[in-house]
Amino acid sequence: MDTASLMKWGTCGLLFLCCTGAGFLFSGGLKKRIAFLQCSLEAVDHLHTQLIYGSDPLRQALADTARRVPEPYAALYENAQKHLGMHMDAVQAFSRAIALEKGKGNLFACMTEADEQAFKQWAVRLGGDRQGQQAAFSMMTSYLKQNLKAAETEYMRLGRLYRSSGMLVGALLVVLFL
Amino acid sequence: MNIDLVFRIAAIGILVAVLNQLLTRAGREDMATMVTIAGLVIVLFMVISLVSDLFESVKRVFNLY
Repeated sequence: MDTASLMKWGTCGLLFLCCTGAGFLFSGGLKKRIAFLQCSLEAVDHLHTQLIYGSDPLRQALADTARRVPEPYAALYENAQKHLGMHMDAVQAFSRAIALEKGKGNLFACMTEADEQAFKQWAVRLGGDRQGQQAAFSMMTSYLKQNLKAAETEYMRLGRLYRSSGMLVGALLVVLFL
Repeated sequence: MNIDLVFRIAAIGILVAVLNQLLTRAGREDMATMVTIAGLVIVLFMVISLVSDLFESVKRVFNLY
């Protein structure tokens, strides 16, 4: 096999791998959204337990929960409780903490505008009385569960499509080039 | 005519058909139609020179102008 032929095969192989990789990348984005929503549900549940059943004030509950939940929510709760200590209200504290986490390129990159609004509405009630907090947690849990179900359905529908389409488009380009 | 061309067209046809099925099952019928049309256009571009040669041959054989 001469050099030109080798280079042609190499380029085709690379093209196929790039297209397949792109397909897997798109599919991975959908999976990351599911992971984000599952992590959010777990973190909200932990804070609910600490706040309602532990009867701690919000700042204390956030500090305690930050030690129990995985990243990135540990960092979010840690930052939120620090901002609460700087005489900010719950909405401002959470908004700042979310903005910080979003810039780190972790699971919070999957957070949509609707998610952010839901978190802000949740934070509004978190700073209120016990009944308001209970209602806030119910609303937030319900929102996250609905979105999780939708994300899982979307992944089932589109995940395989993206992966297969990536491979097929790669194969098509290889056939055209060869 | 190179036999490779026939195999290439067959491969493109199979790949486009599979992609069409995948997209239709995922509910993206509009994209499936576009992929089919794109495949058709690609194959047409591949055979257009042969079609042109065919018309030239027919014109020569039947003395058409």
